[in-house]
Amino acid sequence: MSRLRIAPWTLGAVCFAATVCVTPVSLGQSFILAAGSATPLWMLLSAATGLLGVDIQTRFIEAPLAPWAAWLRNAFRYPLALFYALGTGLMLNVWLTILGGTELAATPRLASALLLVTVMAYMLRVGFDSAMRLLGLIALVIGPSILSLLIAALTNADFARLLPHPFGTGAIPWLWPTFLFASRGFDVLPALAPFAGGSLRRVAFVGVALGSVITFSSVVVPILVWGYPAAAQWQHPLLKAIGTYTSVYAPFERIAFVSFIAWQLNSFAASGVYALSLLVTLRAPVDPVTPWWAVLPVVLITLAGALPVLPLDVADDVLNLWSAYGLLILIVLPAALLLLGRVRARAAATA
Amino acid sequence: MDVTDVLRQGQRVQRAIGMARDRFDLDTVRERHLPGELVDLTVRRPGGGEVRLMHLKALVDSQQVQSEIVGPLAETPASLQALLAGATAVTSAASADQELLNGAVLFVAQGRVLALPMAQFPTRSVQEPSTERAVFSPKDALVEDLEQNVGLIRSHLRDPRLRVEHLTLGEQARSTVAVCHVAGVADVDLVDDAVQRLHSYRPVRVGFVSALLRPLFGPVWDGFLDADFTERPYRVADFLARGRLAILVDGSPFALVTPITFVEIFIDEEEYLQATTTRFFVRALRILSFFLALLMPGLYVALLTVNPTILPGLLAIAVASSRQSLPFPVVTEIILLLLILDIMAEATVSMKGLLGPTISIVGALIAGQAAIRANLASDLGVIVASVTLLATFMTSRYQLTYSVRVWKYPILLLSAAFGILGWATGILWLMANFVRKRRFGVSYLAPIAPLRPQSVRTTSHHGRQAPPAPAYIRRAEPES
Repeated sequence: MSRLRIAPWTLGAVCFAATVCVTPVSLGQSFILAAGSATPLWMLLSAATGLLGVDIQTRFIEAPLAPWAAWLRNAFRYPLALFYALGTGLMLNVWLTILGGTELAATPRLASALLLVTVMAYMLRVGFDSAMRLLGLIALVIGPSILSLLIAALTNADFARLLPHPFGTGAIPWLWPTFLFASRGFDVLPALAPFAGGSLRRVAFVGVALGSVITFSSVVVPILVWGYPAAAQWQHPLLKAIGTYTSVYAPFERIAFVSFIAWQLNSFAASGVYALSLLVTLRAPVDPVTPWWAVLPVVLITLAGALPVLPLDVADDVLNLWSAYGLLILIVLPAALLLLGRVRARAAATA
Repeated sequence: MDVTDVLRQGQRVQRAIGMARDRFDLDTVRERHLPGELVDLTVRRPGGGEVRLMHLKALVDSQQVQSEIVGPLAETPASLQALLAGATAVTSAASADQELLNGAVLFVAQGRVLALPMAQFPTRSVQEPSTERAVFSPKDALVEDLEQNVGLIRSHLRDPRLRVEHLTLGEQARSTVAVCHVAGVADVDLVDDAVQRLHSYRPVRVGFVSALLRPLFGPVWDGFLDADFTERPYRVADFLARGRLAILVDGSPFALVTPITFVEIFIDEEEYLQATTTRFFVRALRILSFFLALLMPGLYVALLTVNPTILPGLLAIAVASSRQSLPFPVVTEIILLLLILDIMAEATVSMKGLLGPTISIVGALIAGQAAIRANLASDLGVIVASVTLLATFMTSRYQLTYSVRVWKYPILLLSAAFGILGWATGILWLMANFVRKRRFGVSYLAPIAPLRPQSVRTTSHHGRQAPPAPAYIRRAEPES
């Protein structure tokens, strides 16, 4: 497809970053509220879905589709672009909302958004290869930092709190989309996998599996520390991010700001990887310089998504609907195409 | 055979190879190309014969000319045949100029010229490096003489595959440039690419090796090391054995080594004598110092001005009490302190010898103490600024200290404006800039970004067990 090649480990790191995203800070509480004491099981299932998604995506990319499906494949590009366009703004939106509600209330939201999208514009501008390296590098930084915060929180853990507890409604309408939202490292594969060299499936699996472990921990650790009812009360956006509360209750109290930086890098990586995927989906990457006319629309979309154009409740709904939309175009449609192609091929072989 | 026969032979050679385009004589050389400014031009006519000798007195030993040329020529002209075997035919007035400036003795007769190299450029003896530390490793340093430098490198790398390619650069003042590599270890494309870029470079003169940065890498604006400059032949040999190019310029006591990666900047061969744990500790300390020097002032300002709520309670109280009677805001205080320390550092570097430590004492002890007593700076501010300066010089590369000293200010200003968010954005900018850098197809952050776990060991280890060149040095794809 292109002379550009992503190193397998870089792709793995990017998958990891995409899986982690901002799930721990925004969705943990609603997930716990919905699933109750079955939360750990649902999270494990969610991680398994992520790995299944990787498998389907890699097969979908490598398998030649039947000719009759070619038109659908071309059309599939634009729904995918729409998915990435929503994701790039929403990832930043969640982060900035939390940011404004907690630690950096004094910093204007527009200034924060502008600062981050300026770096993002630079990242997209310097080319596909450099952008991938940057995202991989950020993943290397956030992985250990978030893990260390979660491990620190475990000093206050009580595993008895994980026992079945009469809690949770199970009736939240967004449980299923949220379930997918929590394991979306494979989202970026349709855009980035065509450029990956070496063994794609292995590194993508490793990346998503690691990301799932962190995501799982970020939902389960609050339960371990406070129990189901208290953990479910940490409502977005009024309360602090997980990194902050682990810092408050763990021996790391004096370096609380470190968690903040880890989350900032994380949200940048999450938003950046979707922005890059959007760019790649709409236009074949060219190194070393991507023209401004291609970079600017992506940056503006990100900025529009990041700013509070929509009321918070509506933004939350869009966030969850976006995940459901992802379920459709990233798992259901590819799986259907793959299966139909195979059935057609088998029928042709038998005939 | 007398001198005229020898010259005639040279003439025949010239004709045979079709190079004799320009007839010229002594007067042409002396009057047209070497006007009266060259007062040290010496012209002799040994024994009053047809042959005239020309050389520059400053570059050629007159006594040697007398004893080896003039004397024998006057007594037995035939004895000169052996001497002139090493001479080359000069084909134009411009090249006659150049030969004179290169320290050759010109033999002029019948409008033809032969050049015999007898240069004795004033040079210093091999000494210890002045900008790099050598405690356990070899203590010799490069000098200004190119050939001597190549010899020094060869003495540390006795490998028959070592290749040295000479180029001449400079439109007006010609300089010899040597491109060294180990055949079979260095990537062929890398060598060709570098030589091609140097060939297409048309400078007026090449005074020192860092002048080659621009032709090799294009505009360099951020100051972070694009190539390593070293004055230690041992280090050059080590890099060559690991697949790099070393470029030397005649008259410059430094070698330019490329491609270099960020991690390698913090590796010092001295460490290989230490235990593995010690080695990694020292390296980690250097890398930590690098980031500390860049980021600590910004973090200090961000925490104290925009985001004081992030500070732990006790620390916030301590900081507030130490700044109680200061007239300046934090950002002004820290910028002033950093500027003063940078001025002192620069003064110390400029004034070597006895004055250097004196300036440090005056600056650090007297000015620092006085600033605190006069309520112009807080204790914590002085600590932050001092640690920043110390961390700056912890990096083992002198050239790198400048970029650290410059770039801490923009990060500081970002932090002052946007707090922690601005500070973290500064980090993102740094990361984005580092990953953008590629030199001859090699990523500046290799083997971390892109991550190549196999190459991490090759980069960090050294010795017989390690492969000679990390995989990322062998270019797998065209440079973007």
